[in-house]
Amino acid sequence: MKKSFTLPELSVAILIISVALLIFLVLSSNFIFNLVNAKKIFFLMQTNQSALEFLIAFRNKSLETTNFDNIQWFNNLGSGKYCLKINKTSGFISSINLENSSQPCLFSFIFLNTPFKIFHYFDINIQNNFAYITSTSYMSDRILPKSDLSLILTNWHPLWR
Amino acid sequence: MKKGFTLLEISIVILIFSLIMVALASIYTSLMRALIIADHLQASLENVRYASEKIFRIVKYGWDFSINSPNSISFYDRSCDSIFEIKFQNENLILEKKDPNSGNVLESGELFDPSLVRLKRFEIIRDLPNTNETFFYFQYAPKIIVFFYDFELITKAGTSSLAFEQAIAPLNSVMNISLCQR
Repeated sequence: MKKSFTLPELSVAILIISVALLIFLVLSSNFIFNLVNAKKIFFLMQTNQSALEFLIAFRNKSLETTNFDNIQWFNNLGSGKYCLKINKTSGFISSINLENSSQPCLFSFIFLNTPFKIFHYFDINIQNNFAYITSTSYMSDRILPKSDLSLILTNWHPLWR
Repeated sequence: MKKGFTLLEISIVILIFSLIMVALASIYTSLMRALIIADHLQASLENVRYASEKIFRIVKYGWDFSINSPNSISFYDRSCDSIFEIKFQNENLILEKKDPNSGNVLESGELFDPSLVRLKRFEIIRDLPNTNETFFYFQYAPKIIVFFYDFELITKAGTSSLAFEQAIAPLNSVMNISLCQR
């Protein structure tokens, strides 16, 4: 009659139980991670999209103050990293500006007070008549990877005349 | 030679086995609960995403925007066939499609599913063009419109808040004239 277990038998049994438990724990931690971060991912995507819309508006606003014939809006901009600066006065967005910056800036929301900080920057690469723009944002806690969204803008306005 | 287990040995084994089973059951319950909440949260987020995409599309191609109050906006559609109005009402956004001549409501509906989300606050802000000229459409058209949403996402385990801003640069804001001036 076998009196006890051998060391290999015990090791294999413990290994099987450990793997089963580990799979269980990994699955549950993945669900909880997704649960906690689903909103943050959505938020980062919205921030990138909104930032690009502000950039399009920044380009379009150059029509208001200049002679609209043959406008080339990014001639004075240059390639590099830029932060978005939005000012609000008396119920309106009074100005949209791009500020050259080597460091990402806190994204300036208009209404929102987020419990977490969102850093954002544009990487603008100008080649001939095209600006290749990447909008990048990330949370200050750095748990999630950076979120990117790209856009190509021409140097002229798509003005219909 | 020992032929069987003693009562003490069996008791200890049953106790250890019970403790492991209780721990596993607890993990399983938490996992199922997290799964149900994640499922509800995903459904609520999908609803928010779908409706905000719809708003994005119709505003992007709109003409002649009129923001009469901080939580109501109206504008012509891309072909000038109808007027859309988006307004905050009963913890939801109502999208109305109106006849541009008579002003009669042709279609009306809620943008968000009230069983999934509750909109607690909604505000609209636009830019202020840098000109007093109103001859060309691009001189007075809004270049950016920002919607602020403050939601309560409804799950079986309770509610979860979600607030975000959606900026939209209308496509037609650089046009010379409006095709459907009021």
